[in-house]
Amino acid sequence: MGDFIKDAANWLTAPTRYSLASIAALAAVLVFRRFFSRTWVVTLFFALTTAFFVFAWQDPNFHAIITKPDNVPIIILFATVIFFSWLALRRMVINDERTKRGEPTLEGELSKQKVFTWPDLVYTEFICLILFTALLLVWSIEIPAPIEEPAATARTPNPSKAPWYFLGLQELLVYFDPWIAGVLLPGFIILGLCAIPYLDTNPKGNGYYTFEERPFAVSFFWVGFILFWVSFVVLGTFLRGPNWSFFGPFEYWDLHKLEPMVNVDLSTMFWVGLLDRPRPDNALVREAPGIVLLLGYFLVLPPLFAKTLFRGKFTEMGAVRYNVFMHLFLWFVLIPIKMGLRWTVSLKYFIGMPEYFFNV
Amino acid sequence: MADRGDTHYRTSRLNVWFTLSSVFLLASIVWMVLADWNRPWKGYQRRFRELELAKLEREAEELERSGAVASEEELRAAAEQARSKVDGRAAELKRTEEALTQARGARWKAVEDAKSAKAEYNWERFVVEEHRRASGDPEYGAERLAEVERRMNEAIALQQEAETAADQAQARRDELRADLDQAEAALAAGTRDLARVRSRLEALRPRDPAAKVAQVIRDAPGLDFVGPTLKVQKQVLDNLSIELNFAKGRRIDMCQTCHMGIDRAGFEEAEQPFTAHPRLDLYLTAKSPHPLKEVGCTICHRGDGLALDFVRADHRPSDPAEAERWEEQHHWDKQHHWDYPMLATPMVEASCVQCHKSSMELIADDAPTLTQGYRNFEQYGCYACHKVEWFPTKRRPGPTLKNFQAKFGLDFLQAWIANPKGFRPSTWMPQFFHLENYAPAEPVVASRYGAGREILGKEWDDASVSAISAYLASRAPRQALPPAPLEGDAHRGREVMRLSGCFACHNVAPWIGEAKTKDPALEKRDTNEMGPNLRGVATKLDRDWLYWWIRDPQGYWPETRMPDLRLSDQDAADITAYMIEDPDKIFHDVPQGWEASPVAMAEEPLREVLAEQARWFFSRDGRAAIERRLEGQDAEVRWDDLETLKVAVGEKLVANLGCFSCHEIEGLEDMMPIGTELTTWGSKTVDKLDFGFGKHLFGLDPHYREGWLTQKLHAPRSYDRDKVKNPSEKLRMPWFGFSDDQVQALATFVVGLVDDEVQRARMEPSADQLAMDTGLRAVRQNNCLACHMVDPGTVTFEDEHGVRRTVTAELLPLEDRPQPPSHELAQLRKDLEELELDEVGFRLLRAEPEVGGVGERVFVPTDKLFDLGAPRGGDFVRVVTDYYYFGIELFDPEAASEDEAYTYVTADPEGGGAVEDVDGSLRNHSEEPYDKIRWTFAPPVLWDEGAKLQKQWFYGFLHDVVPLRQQVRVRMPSFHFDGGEAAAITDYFALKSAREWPARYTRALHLSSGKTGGELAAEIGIEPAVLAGIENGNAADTQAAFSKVLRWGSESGYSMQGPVDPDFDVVEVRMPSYLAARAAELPEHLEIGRRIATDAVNCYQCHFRLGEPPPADPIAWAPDMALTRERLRPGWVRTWLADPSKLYPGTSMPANFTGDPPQYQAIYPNSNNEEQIRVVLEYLFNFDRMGLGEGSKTASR
Repeated sequence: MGDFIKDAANWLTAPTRYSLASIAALAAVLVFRRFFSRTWVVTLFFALTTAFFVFAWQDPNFHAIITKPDNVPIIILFATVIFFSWLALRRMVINDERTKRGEPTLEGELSKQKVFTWPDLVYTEFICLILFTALLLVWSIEIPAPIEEPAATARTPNPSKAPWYFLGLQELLVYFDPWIAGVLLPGFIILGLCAIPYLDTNPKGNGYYTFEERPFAVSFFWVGFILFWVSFVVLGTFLRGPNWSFFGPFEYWDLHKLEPMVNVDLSTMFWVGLLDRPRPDNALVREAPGIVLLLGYFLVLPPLFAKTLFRGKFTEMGAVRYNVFMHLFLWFVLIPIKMGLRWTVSLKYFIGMPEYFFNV
Repeated sequence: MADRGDTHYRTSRLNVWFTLSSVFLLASIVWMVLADWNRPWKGYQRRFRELELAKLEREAEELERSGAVASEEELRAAAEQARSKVDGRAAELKRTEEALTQARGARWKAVEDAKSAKAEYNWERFVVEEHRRASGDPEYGAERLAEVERRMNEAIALQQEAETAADQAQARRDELRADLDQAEAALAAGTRDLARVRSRLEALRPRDPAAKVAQVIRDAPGLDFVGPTLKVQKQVLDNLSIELNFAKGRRIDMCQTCHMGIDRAGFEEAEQPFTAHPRLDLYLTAKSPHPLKEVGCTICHRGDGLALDFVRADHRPSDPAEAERWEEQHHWDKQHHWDYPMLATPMVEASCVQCHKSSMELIADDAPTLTQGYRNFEQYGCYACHKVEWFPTKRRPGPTLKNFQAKFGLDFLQAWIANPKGFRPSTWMPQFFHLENYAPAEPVVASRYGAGREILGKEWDDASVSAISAYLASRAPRQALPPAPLEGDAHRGREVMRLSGCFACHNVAPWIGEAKTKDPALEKRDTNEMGPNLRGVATKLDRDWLYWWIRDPQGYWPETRMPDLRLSDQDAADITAYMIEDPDKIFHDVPQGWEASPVAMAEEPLREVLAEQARWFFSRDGRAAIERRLEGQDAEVRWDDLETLKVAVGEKLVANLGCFSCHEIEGLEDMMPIGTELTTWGSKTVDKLDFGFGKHLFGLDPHYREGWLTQKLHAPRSYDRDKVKNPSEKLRMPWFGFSDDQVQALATFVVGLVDDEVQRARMEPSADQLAMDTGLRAVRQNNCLACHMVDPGTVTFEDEHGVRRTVTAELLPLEDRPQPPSHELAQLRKDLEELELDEVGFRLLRAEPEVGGVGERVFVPTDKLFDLGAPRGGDFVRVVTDYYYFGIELFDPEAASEDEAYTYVTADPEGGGAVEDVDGSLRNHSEEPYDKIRWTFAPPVLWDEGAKLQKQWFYGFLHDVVPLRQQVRVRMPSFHFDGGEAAAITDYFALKSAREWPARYTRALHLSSGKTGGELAAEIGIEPAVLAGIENGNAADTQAAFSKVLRWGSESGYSMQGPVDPDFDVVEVRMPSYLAARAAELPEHLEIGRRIATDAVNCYQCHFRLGEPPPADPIAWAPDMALTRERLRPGWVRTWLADPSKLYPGTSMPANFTGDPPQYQAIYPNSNNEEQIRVVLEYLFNFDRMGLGEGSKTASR
């Protein structure tokens, strides 16, 4: 039984299945939100999770990875993010029902009341501050800072991991060229966050939780934050080992583990696979399929969507804001697309021009 | 804050929360400070303080017992007395002291005035110079400058006056206080130890309450940053680096923070971590060659020197049990993030390599495991495949294959390659085939790119052997040697082989089990494993080849270590006959199961396997080309011919396995070695090593490289176990069959090959040390010690006073046995028991203070004998003396009874045990005393040889050996020395004698003084331990105090022949100035010398005279006197003539100049012994100048 659970956990946490399962779980939570917002459901979930941890604790490999001082915040993150997301979900469900019944939202009701800055706000904040400082002190005494080997120019640690909060980004390096995964995409994230107030002028949901009034915005946020940030942090922390190979939570971190990965560029698929002829020498001609495809993706899809899927949005936002939004959105969507293509057809790059350091 | 009642939270409740959280924060801050303060190392330091206190208390008691306190009181009383005497002059003293105070005040003022005057003058000069340059007026300010200068000079004069006055006042006061000052100085000097112990005790456990409180405050939490008594102890090592933070950093070791007793004598028995280093004479103390301040800890032990915590220091358990204990006690685990794990104790010698690359031979005694590894590395030829940049030996370790077919046949070759140990279990040649990653019945590969049949390991290996053999044969077609010019006589050959020295380097020990006889050739010793065990060789060797090999080894293999014994044709033919005819059934005795048969494989499967090998090895040529060749469609490369295919595949196999690294193969002389370079293997991080399934299969810890290495050495191919590999991926290192000890030793050496972190700290050997090292290596590589004893053995016993002594001595023969027992305690005990002896005797070979002089015999009860130290060198002596007494003991396993099974043979056709002398006649010497046989027929001892031989002659002798003692049948071989080797050997002996001289002198002085060590040391004015140190050759003690010994010796009238000058030989007695002075003093001195030597003593009764043998039998012969002047150092000859047995106890040379009254007065009237020796010496060194004509030129070459 124990081995079966371990094997199942190892099997399920392979990156492909892990990502797909996360998407499915997220969709299920949002679709069946009434069910999931019940208290007993989340209680059961945490009870089962705790039981699983107690069981897994006995395993030396699991134990080793969980108890690393580095990873303690991630455990906390795991519990807190799930709990607070659940809390939000619950309030959404309640608010949506109340709105349907024509009642004010929970927060709306609450906002009629006033409290004092002192002591209700500042004093409580101060107490929290003190408690938190004390907690940090105790933590730092009991779990000393993890120190790794002295840095050396010629040798990087293996696995070489970013700080925990960047592990989600580091996961993208598996699928994208460093300048996209490490420069462009983080840049878009910052730009996108800055642009939110200008793109999203919808006043609904201000100050209260709701799903039904803003299904797209909430889903988009949950996918972006919980799936692509938090769950990838968890993946990068616990499931990526030496050589950035994947290791199940109960698997030994073997330095020599190999992963069969022969990835091909789109141009090779097109010229060699489809047309059965050598790839042209001229880089631009050679990469033309990828260039056409990406240009199509970024130039054709926005106007197309403006007429079809996002017609409402287009009229609501106007051309400029709509296009900014669409490009940010398309970049975001490119990530799961690329991941899917990597898993299914071993796509390396849409455009692979190493001679110009340009790979997409 | 009052509760208004209208807030969301009740303020009073928030106040409670605030209070609680504040208390919690305060508590955690206190906790933080305490946690930071209460480090584990402080506990260790407190514990050490207790230990040190206990030790100091013991010392204080000891001092009290030894009367130090009593003598302190005496001194104090004397000081008091002096004080009262001075007090008697109190009024006068007070006056002078006041005057002194005033004079000092005046001096201070005068000095200050002079300083200001000088400053003022300098300033004026600067201003004037500047102004003169700017205005162009050279006379500007001259007057003012002169005035300032005058003032300055006045001030200086006043200052000098004041100084003189102050000095005078001081002198007057000192004069009045002289008695007291002297007494106080004596008190301080006499109580130095006491004062040291007391002040340390006071520091550790102050009696003053204020000091006690201060100590607590200094160590209090939060205050201990100022001047704590418990503090981190660190060594900052400027000359050692460590790879840190993108650069080499300075090495800092803080180990001493806990290991507080590590460099202090007296803590040898203390518990860990306080134990003193086990070798304080070599390490850490200021006097040792590796002082703590310069070398620290981690450069040798590795581990994290900056860590202050048991676990973080990366301590290394010696075994799993210790690991378990540590896990329990310290929560120990391997520090994954530290690249330099501590070396396990048994391997710590590895670290010597990094500094001692150019002195590996010099450290041999202090690093035995490492040295064994270094020597095995050389002996097994590891360096041939694995490059180690600095490794001094470069020659190919295996014999040349350029004309191997003249030596043995191809059948033998194939069987040998397939399994060398099958023929000679002790061979250094490793096994390449039929190893575990080519398991005989398991498929290696499916042929024809996976489409064909599976080829099994045995087939693969058999085909490989056959291919290699074909290739080697194609490279070296047989060139027949001329037949031996003489027929040999096997019976005589047995004796020739025995006595000319073959068994110094070779043995013929049986392959399995114990030898049935006590024949020394059947015993394996370090020295007689220099060459291969010769058992069974007649089955493989060509008779003519063997003859020519014995005659002239370099003729076949120029790089061989086998020297030329300059055997006559007859001797060589006799040995050949003996070995080939093999009457004693030695040279045809091969291990069970050995058969020199070629690979048995039918042609078709052989072709199939070879074709498959060709596909792998020639894969670069492309499949089409390979198939074309195999089918015979390629006119140039016709692999359809089996022989051609074999040669082609064989060449690839030889290249792949690196045969050319060890053996010279025609055409492959310049190939690069195939093994991993090992120059810095010890710094390679573990993640670069392929452990295979070593973790699961052999329980290897993948965090440590040592385990990987030992497993690799034990079973080089074992990392392929359970792996699926094709032939190009399989491991290639051959199997050497190392023993556990060898693996440990080799691993120690290889782990020591690290990146250079010691550039500025490593030992830079002096020219002398370098010469010693090179000399020692040459001595070892040419196996000089097989025949020559360079250091006698030792005997440890308890004398009648109950003192345990270790003396340099040789054992005396037991009862009626002709030969003395060897220096092996267990064997000696057995013999003593057998003979029911309760006493054992030995003869001193070195002056032993308080025991006796050289040559004296000492007898001790057997139960007082504790230990024996083996002599260095001279194993072969036993082979010779055994032969003279018994002949060769043979064992016939088919004999009817035990008694009949043993026979003793010599070359004597009568069977009478006679041995051939150099004049060709057979004589029986077995009734002669051991000394006679040993000193006459066995290789000479070389102890203190540097003091005996002139370097120039020695050097020439090594290059061109001349027989000195004509009666000896052992041949001093003619070695083919590489550049510098012969010079290094002569240097080595000269330096060795020069170094040993101070100890020799001190011992002799000590002995002749008749005092105990303590008395003598006190008279000389040094510590008894230092005196003992000098007598035992301790370099630091000698350097520190030998000059005092020497001075004391010459003052007390002791004289001894001076030390050897290792650089130049000055033969003063041959110098014209010397001779002129002597002629003026005693015109006839040479003639008198000649008459004493020839007429009175009659040296030529035994000594050769200008090549003419003396009239006596060869057993009494002695070297040609004509050689003396070139060969011997005059100082040595003088000592020798005075009493030969003091240099070589047991020699036949009599003491001719000991008469009292002196003899030979008739020839040299009124002379004493010394003067007689002097004229004989002068004669010996100058007789070429006495008009002897032609004779002197042809002296016995």
